[in-house]
Amino acid sequence: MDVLLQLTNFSFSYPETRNPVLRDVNLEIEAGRCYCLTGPTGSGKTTLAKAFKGLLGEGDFQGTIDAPFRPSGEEPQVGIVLQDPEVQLLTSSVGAEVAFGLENLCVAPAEMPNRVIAALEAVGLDKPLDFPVAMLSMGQKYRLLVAALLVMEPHLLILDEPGAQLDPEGLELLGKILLRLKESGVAVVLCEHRPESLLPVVDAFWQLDGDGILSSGRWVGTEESPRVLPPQPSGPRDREVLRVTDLTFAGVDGLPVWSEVSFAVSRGQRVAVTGLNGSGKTTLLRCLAGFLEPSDGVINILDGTPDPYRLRARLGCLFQNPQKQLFENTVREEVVFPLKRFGLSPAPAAERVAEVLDACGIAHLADLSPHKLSYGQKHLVALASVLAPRPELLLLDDPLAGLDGRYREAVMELLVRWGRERDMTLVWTSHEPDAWPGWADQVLNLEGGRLAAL
Amino acid sequence: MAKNSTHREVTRINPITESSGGRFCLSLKEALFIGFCAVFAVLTRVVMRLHLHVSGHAMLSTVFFLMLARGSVRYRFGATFAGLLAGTAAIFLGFAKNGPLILVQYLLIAVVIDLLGLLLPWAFRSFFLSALVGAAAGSTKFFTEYGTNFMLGMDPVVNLQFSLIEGGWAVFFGALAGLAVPVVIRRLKAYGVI
Amino acid sequence: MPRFDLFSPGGFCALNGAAGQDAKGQKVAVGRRMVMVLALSGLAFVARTPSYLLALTAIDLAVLFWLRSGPLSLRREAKMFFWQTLIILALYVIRFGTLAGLWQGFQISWQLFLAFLPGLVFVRTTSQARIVQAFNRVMPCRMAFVLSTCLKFVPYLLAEIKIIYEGQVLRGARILPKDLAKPWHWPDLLHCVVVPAVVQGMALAGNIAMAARARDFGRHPRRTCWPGE
Repeated sequence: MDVLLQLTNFSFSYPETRNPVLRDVNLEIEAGRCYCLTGPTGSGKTTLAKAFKGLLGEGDFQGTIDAPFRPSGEEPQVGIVLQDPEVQLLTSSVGAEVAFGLENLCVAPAEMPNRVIAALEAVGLDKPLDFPVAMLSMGQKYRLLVAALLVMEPHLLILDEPGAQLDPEGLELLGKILLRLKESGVAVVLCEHRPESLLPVVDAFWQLDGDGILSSGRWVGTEESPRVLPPQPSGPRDREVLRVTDLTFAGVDGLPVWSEVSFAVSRGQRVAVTGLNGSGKTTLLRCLAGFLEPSDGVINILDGTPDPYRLRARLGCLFQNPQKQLFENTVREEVVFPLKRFGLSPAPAAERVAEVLDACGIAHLADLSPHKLSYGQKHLVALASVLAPRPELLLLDDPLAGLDGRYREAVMELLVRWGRERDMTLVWTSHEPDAWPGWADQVLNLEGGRLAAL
Repeated sequence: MAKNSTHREVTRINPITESSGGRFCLSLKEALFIGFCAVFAVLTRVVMRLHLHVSGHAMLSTVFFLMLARGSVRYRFGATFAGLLAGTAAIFLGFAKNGPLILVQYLLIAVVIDLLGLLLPWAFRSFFLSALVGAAAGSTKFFTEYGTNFMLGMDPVVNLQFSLIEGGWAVFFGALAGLAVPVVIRRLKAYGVI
Repeated sequence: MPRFDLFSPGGFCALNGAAGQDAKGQKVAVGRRMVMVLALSGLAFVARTPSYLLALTAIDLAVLFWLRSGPLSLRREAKMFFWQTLIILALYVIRFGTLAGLWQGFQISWQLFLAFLPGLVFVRTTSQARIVQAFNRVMPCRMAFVLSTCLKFVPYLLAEIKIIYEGQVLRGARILPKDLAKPWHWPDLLHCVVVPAVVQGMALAGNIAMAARARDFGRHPRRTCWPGE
């Protein structure tokens, strides 16, 4: 098999970091083979993928990346689908999106339509060329991105965490596409820390260990298996804190996102709302908090109607990617901010900050800037700032998204313990119903616009 | 190009290809950020007109976002690029009260910001200097109004009075916008984002 | 109850008074339309007599009628020019006394209106797609890409900012409308919303740039153009 890319003692460091994220990496990528690159979050998988394509920004590198069998001066065509498809879709229509790469390669306009149609057929996306991208499902958007790369006739295709974007059906379809690509001589690299669904197409495994060292070997399974928490009594259910009756929410087009949603939550309960991406879980939380107005139905939350002005000292909310909200100069200031706004005097506020930082395991970060912490640490800082005011009801929108095993466990244990000790009611959403079996008192599933208890 | 161990020529790939921008060179990331500043300069102007009905408000959002565009990147003509994009965006979106002349208005404001930024590079981190830059940028409103009315044949005294009314509010809101910019720039610097 | 929401993609597009489609005069190329509009605007500057002004008004209204694709309301613009006219009339009356001042002030206001009306008509009767295509031909391709991409991603960024805003409200930031009526609460808006929003804007810009470069944007100095559907 032709070697497309060869890395020799390749190391890379980001600016202002002491340790290199990749250290003396040696590997070869052969045409027609599929490789799976695994490793914990932050181990350098995406960095290595970007290096193959030449997308790295500021930093220092050593070693070489060579294309041994290319005609002189010609680099192999490398296509890469990064995480978060939403920010990679750069145009409004299916045809224009697939053609974007051809425009960049200065392909003649007359040649474009046939190549675009062929690429769409290759990924099984049967949509008209003027179909709006915004109306595609997440799985279709991912396939559109793959088509947008296939149209450029890559020699190497890199997919960064496809498992995070696709449901099981989407992964199965992707597997078939990858098999066809291999047969036509395209090399594939999957950066995936949970590759179980794509094992049949993978020929070789590489692992990054978190210190920048890459090794190859066989796949033996993930170490993270969901912990089953022992039954945790969640306190007396003597008071209802939330009742939702026949709630319906209509989208921009007037069609209901979900309808006739009804459920009740008592004080101290832990309730999970599950559903696929796009089922309306975040919309439900925003309606409960009073930021969105439902088109029908009644919400009674903490003895009143949803009104952010009334609720803000009693209701806590942690939306997805909560580190977006961080704005103070130190972790301590970030956590004390809500306490100052809710009128707590300095001494009790300081005590509470110390308590919650300790509970979150981040007391040693108190005087650091939250913006220079890792993803998981920022997540904990945001959670600490929401727990500090001791809300009666805490809404969490997919609180484990983007976290790896260590931080996932830390967050879940903290929420369960804190909730039990302070009789705090928890309502959280998740797209993974089996992630933490046994720790919710009530599991509700949003599917097809309806809510049903599981 | 390089040779491998069998003395065969190989293509050597550079893993780092994007320039991070500089004083006279704009990276794609910086260009897109400036683009967002430009589009928001236009959109917030419209929102304020729709919901607040405040006279002279236009300078508040325009000066803020153009100064932010200039202060957040190393590129020395960030405001001018933002002004060009904002004027074009205003025409695209149909928010141009003055038609294509809106481009001239945005560009004048932007050029003043960039010129003062060249003379006083630390202006965007100082409240006083930043307010001064904002006020100077806002004062262009007086000149554009006076110039337009002069060409129409407006009486010079009336023209001066009318332009002073319009320009006065613009200077006030421009200065206010200038005061807000260092708050943001200092934070971005503290975060390590710029 | 549906309500207008600037932050939604539909609300964002609804702000543009232009219909999404072209008017009857759509056979006229965008470039020629712009030249026509500029010429009409320019003529308003030299129209100094009542007959000239009347003739130009008739031409402008004819062009408006020809270019529009459906009902087109200029009420918003008329309201704005009404207030401007009042100010100008007041200044002229103060300067010259009642009758002479009134007529001169009215004439200047009329000229101002005619100077800006063609531009308004152009943007309200020409579809965004055609304006974008015309600008793509004259703008450097990188600038055209930056502008069209930023316009496309604004709803996404607005949605992110809205989530930031809502999260900060519940953390106690004094940024609800009734809070912002008091100016001493404005720093909370700056610190809690504007700063994180700018950080998100930068991050989004970086991600989009990465995505564009992943598909070889910038590899060649010029780009070809998808012919469309």
